[in-house]
Amino acid sequence: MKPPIIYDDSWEQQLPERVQSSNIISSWPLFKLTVETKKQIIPDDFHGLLTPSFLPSIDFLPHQTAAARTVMEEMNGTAILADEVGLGKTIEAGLILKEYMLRGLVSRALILTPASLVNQWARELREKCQIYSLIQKKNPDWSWNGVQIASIDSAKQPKNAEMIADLLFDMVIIDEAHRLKNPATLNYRFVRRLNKTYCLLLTATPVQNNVDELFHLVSLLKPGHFGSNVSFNTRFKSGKRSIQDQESFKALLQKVMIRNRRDETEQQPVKRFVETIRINPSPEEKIFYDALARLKDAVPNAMTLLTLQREACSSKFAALSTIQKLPGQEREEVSKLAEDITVNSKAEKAMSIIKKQPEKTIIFTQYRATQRYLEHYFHEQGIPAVSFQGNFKKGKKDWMVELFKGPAQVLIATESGSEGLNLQFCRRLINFDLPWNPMKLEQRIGRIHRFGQDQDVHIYHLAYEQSVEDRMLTLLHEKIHLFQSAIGKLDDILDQNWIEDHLHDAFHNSKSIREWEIKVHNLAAALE
Amino acid sequence: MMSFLKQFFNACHCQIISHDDQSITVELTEEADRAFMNRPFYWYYKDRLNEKGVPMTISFFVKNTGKSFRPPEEYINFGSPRFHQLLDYAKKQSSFVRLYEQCSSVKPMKLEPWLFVHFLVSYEANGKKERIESLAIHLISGVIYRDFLSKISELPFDHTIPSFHYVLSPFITPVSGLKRLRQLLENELEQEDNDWSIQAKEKQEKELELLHSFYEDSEKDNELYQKEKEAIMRRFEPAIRLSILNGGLFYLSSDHFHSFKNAQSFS
Repeated sequence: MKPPIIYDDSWEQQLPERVQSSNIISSWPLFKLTVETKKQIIPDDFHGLLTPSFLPSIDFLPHQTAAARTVMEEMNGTAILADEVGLGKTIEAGLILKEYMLRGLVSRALILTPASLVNQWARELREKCQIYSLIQKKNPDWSWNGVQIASIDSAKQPKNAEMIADLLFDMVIIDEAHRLKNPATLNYRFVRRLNKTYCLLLTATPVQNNVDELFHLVSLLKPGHFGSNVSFNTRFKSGKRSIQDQESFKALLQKVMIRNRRDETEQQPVKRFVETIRINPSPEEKIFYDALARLKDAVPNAMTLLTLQREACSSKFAALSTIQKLPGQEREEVSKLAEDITVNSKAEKAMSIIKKQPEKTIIFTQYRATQRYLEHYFHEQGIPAVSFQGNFKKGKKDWMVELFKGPAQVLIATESGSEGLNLQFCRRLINFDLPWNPMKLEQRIGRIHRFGQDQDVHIYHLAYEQSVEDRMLTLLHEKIHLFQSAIGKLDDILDQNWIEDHLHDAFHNSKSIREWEIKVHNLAAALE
Repeated sequence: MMSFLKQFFNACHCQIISHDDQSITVELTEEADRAFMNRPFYWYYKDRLNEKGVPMTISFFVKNTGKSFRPPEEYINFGSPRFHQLLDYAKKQSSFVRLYEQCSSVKPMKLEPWLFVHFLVSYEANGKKERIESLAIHLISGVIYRDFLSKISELPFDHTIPSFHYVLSPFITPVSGLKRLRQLLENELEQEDNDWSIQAKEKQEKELELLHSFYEDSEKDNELYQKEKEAIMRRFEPAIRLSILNGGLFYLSSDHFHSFKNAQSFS
């Protein structure tokens, strides 16, 4: 079949009138310049990228240009970009968007991100790709004929969603797309209804809990790629989270998903120095901590005790709400011991690290109470510190990062909402307490050890000697490389959940600490 | 980039105040300021007061040395929206021209009419490539030449007839001349190898099948199915788009017609 030839006759229409007109601006240099310049910039091949030579001041990395080519040449502009955290997915998406724009295939584009990342997207697109976008805020104008960025939460509101559904976008890009794994959610239904030609979904964690999530994500992008819901179940699923016929499953997956891994892409990897510091508790802290261990009969189960002990390892304030729930007598005893503690040895250690060599430092804690305490403590010591947490409004988050970039020396962050936080300008991180899930630790470190970091990073784990944390360190975090290598691979993207599931199960369902330890130990042995 | 900027601002009669190999500073004309600087309020205000406005002076840098640019300084490259704005302007201004060859001869000479057109050919499917065809037809004999720009690019042209010269009237109207050029080009395009479109069609078929299978045994949501189907059509549907970048009537001294004949024509 021959392709149809579609002729744009607008020039021809105007020709008779222009031939007669005496008022014609005729510049021979401009006439030649237009043609000669146009010849230089039109795409003379279906393949290859124009963008890198058009934006000479940006050094796109090899894995980024390779990904852009694959998306354009093989995936036809519909893809899941699932690079590991910190490899520059935003730039990759920007590069693809720019390429489609330069080829004249895209002019109207919609980018949906978490509210906290809207400004960052606009900045990166502007600085790296010279794409100038419109940020949709209070009174959005969705008919804007260019690149627009909105938070997915505002876009999906009924009044906006209705207007958006009537429009056609040449390209839709969705960041943090793992939030679209459940077809019953408003997010999912909203994105599904979007009228789009090309689509990019960005996520570092395409699967979090089970295989169905991957099915739903792919079906959003390319319905039918994995078959229908029914045929997917019979063909690929075996049990809740395993996959049969892995070969063809992977082959299919690789047609819609690109996943670059850190260890494959970094040519001159920035080194990561990890130091575990075991701290001797003060006598008061030791008495308090030992008293907790004797509460076995006062708490409903072993895991509550473990939770309490872990909280106590962070700060007495973090443990307070759990202590409040203890029976009367124990509560008073323990509260009394807590009151006796006047210094937090970990905070002192953190301070000495910071003072030894003044430098931007990010401190992670799991507890809001500890965060508040630390902020107060640093202020008292004359160290400018700011807090960062997930429930801050977008503007406040941006402002906190700006403060940290500027006058503040310390940023105290809780885990939630730290995704998407880019702190390449900082190269020291202190883990004030330790999460039970080693992957969480990796995410924390990913905030500074990421694409764009050009100096070695220093990580400090703080743990009290002979505490539950100490045991967790031995058990989990010193084996982290084992877990990491098993988890990072695309091939094992499904097995990854199996591991996390086990860790989760071990932590939440064990009847005693000992049982938990044995389970994790067995898991580690299995991986070895 | 630098050569584009120099040629562009010269052609637009903007004065180049200074330039080196990294930057160029130009004083815009009023027309250029209105077209590029995006300050309608300023010009509206000046117009209402019936005052003469002061066009801006602007500097373009073609290398990004990491220094921060402050208006009126700009970094410009082939990826910049600014560059595309300038090129669009050039395209619009040169969309149709009427140009006369400037001969230095003092004896009367006749100039012959040509219709000279640049076609933009876009091959679109699951990707896009383009090329430019430079075609001209001699509006007296009907002879057609391709790659015409390279044949005449060194000749001097201007928008007025030089003294002592006169122009011949065309036998072929510009409109029918254009039809002949287009016909010729379309015939040629139809003869071209079209593997690219067959491949795109095959991919499109496959995608449609997959889509169909997805909706086959689940409840059929017609609206979503149609949306996805249309998206697949848009992503893969092959077509050749033909448009005209620029063109016009060119009056050339008759000598050239004979010298071109040595080069191959195709008609």
